[in-house]
Amino acid sequence: MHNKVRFPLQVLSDDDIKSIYVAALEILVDVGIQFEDERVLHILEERGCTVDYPRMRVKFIPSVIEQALRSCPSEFTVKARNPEYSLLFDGSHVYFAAHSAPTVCDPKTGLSHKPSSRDVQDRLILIDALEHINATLTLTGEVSDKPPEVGVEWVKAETFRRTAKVTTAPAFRNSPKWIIEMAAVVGSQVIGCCGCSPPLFYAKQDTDAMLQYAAAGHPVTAGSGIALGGTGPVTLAGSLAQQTAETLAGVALVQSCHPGTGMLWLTETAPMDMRIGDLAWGSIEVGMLHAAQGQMSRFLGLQNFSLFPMSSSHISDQQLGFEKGMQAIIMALSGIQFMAGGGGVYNESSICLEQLIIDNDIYGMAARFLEGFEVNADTLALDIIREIGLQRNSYLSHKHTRRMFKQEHFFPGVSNRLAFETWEKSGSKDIVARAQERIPHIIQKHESAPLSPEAERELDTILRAVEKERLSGTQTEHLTEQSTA
Amino acid sequence: MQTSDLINNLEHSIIEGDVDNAEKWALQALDEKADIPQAINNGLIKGIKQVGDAFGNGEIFLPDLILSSEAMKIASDIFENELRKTGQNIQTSGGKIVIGTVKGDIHDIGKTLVSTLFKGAGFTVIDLGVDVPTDDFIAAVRRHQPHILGLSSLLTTSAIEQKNVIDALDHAGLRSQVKIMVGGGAITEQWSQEIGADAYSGDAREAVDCGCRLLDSLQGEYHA
Repeated sequence: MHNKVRFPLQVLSDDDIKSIYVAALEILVDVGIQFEDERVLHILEERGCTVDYPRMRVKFIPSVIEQALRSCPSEFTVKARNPEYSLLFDGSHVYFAAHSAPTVCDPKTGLSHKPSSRDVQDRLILIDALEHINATLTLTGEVSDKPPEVGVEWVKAETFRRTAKVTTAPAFRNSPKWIIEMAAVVGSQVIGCCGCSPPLFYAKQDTDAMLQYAAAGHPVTAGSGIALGGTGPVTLAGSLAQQTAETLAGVALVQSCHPGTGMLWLTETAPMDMRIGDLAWGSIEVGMLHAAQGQMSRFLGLQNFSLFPMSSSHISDQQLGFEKGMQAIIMALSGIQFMAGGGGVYNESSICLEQLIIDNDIYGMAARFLEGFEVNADTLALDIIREIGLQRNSYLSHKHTRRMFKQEHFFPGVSNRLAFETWEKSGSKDIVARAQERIPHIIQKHESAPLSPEAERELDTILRAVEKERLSGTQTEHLTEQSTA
Repeated sequence: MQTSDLINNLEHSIIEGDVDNAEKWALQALDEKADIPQAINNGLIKGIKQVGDAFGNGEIFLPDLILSSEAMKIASDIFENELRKTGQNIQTSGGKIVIGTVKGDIHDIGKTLVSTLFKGAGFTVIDLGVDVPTDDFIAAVRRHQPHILGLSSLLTTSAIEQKNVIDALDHAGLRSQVKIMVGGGAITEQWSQEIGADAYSGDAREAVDCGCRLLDSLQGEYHA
């Protein structure tokens, strides 16, 4: 979605931005970042950073950070299997993506279960079909009827098979090497989803994945999910300084090894609710932090990426709707370029397909806002106003109305706009019930663009190799039995 | 100072989460040769229970609770060292729990919160930390003989480690000696049943309620 908002939201002054950047540099220089992988310590030492090997700590020098920022491309494309769905990160586009989680839940009871392969497939068909979903996350991969050791790759193969849209790729275990092979087979790029485990710690798994995806020419994320008051300062400014430092450390590592790699500043940051100790993913502070992140990332010349809009509600209720709706519009107005909360409920713990349908409307409305409206002779409609003058009820029958209404007005898929009696006669259904009805309809009707038979075979071959590696030849029938359904 | 005043001061330092005063009053209690078990039970434990209840009722917040727990720790360490010197055992009326985040997962907050609330409920807590290998859980169960073993996992990829620990306990012949509680972001009731855990909790407060119920059932079993 091309973002035509001319002045993104600003919650920080220019001085604030500089203060946060300077604080981030001081964190990198004075406190440093811990990296679990010794190889990373050597790489950064060679760049001139000071390394304390026993504590696995790197103290950066500002020139390494500045050099890294200079080598980040100011724009890049993430190539989708279908080029029409490729994403351009240039600071003026906003994309909406589906979330991923370990469980699937019922929208009314919140009861969740591990997804079956059918759940995974249904979700992917919806993602491919829904008009305002541009991409999907693939963060987790445990599937009830597949061996847990190979779940991530199975889900990934299904993702490539069932949607031609861009997908992200996780840092789990040894998954990156297999996902990179799969992406090559289907001819798409992925966004390598990697980050820091705050405070100030990069696990080997994440830095390995960052470098592997970058080496294979895929853009990667760097960033973190700070729990304010838990894994970082409780203050918004302090958490931003820490998160900026954590992001810049990842950017410096990737750009040191693979200059020119497309980079996105990832955020998963939310306050901890000090009454219970759980995260407040639906809080208004999340919106404020995104507005600040938008400003900071523009200042640094980085693209950005978020796992929100999200909510702490377990069910598709008013709380979920207003928290996600408010965040979506704030994020869109803040110049957040990739927002991946579609279908997610309860602090990203679960996925709800009905909510994905509802979020598609939220995204659609945010996208409509970003699209803006033209002011020209045709849209000012002065000729029409002159022509109709004071006549009543004549606009509806005018050609100008029929020609322009679709481009001017957004039509949500499941929001209710019926008159009361009509709504009552049609069963007094709420939005969740309407979303529920829409799911089988979409799934039956939608046809995902198939992969070539060669690509299908190659994905099967890769899955067999994963199985061989992980399961030593056992349970081979589970993975390849249903590559198409 | 009268012993009752000292104990009151200790209790208040715990309730206020005042680490410096907790240390000061504990040291003064030693100087004045106050009755240590009395200071622990009527000062520290009484204070932390009040804090735990206030947290449960939403009257105080997490940072208050954590600082009270820190104050509790510093004072109880002072008393425990003294008791050890004189060869006395620490008498606690509550249960004992060994807790940790499983291998492959470095998430600390949820597990630490559960630890703190268990302490508040009078449990002796042995917190093994994060990224804990299966063997360390087994060794800790053998060594500390807890009533409950708590296994936390935030990541879906490390959830399987909970099953590995349970299987290893089985293999080591220790499974029947300990009740197992599982929790963490990636964990569901269904998963808990699949891997043969005794209980699952969705949040820290529920975990402590559940731990207390397990302890009651165990004490029931012992009496039977």
